[in-house]
Amino acid sequence: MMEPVAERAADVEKPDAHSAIVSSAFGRAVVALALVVLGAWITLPNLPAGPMRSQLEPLWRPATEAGLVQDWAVFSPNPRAQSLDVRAEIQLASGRVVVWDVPEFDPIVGAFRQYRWKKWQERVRLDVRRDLWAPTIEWLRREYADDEPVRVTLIRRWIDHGPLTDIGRADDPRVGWNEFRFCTWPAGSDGETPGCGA
Amino acid sequence: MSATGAAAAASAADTAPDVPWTLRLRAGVAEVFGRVAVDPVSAWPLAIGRIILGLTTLVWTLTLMPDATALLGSDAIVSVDGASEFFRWIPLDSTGSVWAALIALTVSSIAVTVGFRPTVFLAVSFVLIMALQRRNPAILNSGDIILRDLTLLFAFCPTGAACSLDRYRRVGRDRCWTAPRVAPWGLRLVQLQVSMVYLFAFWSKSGELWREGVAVSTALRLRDLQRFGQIDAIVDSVVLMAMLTWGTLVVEMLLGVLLWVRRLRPALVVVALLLHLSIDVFLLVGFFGPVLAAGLMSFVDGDAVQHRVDRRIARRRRSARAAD
Repeated sequence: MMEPVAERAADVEKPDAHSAIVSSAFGRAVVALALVVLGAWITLPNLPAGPMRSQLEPLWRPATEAGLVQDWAVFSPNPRAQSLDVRAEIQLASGRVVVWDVPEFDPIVGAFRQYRWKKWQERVRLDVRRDLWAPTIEWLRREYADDEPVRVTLIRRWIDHGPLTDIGRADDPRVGWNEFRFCTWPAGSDGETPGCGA
Repeated sequence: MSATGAAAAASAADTAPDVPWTLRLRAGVAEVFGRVAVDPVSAWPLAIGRIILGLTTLVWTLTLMPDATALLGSDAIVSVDGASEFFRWIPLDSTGSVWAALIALTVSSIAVTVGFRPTVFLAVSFVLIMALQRRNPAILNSGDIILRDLTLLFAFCPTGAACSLDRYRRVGRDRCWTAPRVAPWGLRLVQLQVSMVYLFAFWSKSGELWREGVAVSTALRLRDLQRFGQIDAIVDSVVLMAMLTWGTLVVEMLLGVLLWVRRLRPALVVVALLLHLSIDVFLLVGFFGPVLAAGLMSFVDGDAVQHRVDRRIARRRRSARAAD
């Protein structure tokens, strides 16, 4: 018959290193200090933005620099109200124009690759992330190098979603994607569209 | 002083009326510290969490490999200059170094999963995850962040004490399915991290869409986040969307606060797993659910797990005897 759990509590195995450390007063002091510091690094960065948080920020900077980051504002304060997409229009030396979109993968296993491309797309579309534009252009030019691209234009696309209404209809299905050409290479090759810094 | 000793001292201090308050306070703190960090608990929750975290890290790594050149290589879609300012000491600025890190992380995550020196390999995994994530922060979501946070915090725990290759080598096959009792101080850090995720996920949802009960409808209509497309009957249903929106807030708040109440834990862990499953079915959120599932295991009752394992082994032995 199996030994009951209560009896196993008196298990006389050699304790693991994590348990052995709290068997001495010095070890307990070290662990207590570690719990206070790590506990503060886990909780304090979640304070709402404001003067208090700014004052305390140096306390958890070492944690942030070490990679222990806290940011759990998921779909907050509201989920965004726009579907997003970024695509590129690539004009080749032959005169042909091709459209590049982020790769689409299957929704079962591929979903675990897909989210990374969608996250990149969320960021590259922003004006504040123009540092991502030139590397994107250069990457696309390499991807299509055999076809000799002569112009690459990045296009942000979006659909505005209104909140669910009293009658339940969320969106007009006829509404399509809005488009805005936000940068082009070479600079000035596309009329008013600004350059990408490439 | 052992935890039991601290408790006895605290009890004595409580009953002696002429003991100075400083001593009583000291004894009280020692008692609380003993209960929180020293008094041993079953190692099963850490073992289960370790296995889930190891498998998740393995899948995280394998799914990054096909896009390694495009997203992380020296000629990637984000240049080497776009790497994070932190963790500069392990730069991964060539495609070869990225592949070396991915292969090393594959090996490391397998070691964590099977429980071969998991403390060392959790630390190694953390460094490699950081290095890879640092190379291109533009592709990260909250699931990637919690993956590295929990990998680091699990490294402070005796995750190899139960259900591991290390235990098999230490105690042999017969006792491999028993879990020793271990000091829980590292476990508390994992638990704190998990409850903070839920508490502040709830706290930050202060917008009017959440208040009005329509936020889930909006989230499910974001085409770039849809996993299987959109089901209009669901996203257009006022009642269902309100229930899911407010239900999400209630569940996150309860998880943030009440996971610390032992009696409520089993139900709350199940509710949390269902919440993540439902999010994962509809939305592209990467590894957020699987990683938090690993963290949630820190709240599982280890003694109950041991009872189940014992029953299963006993049943198997009875059937083996019957077959003989």
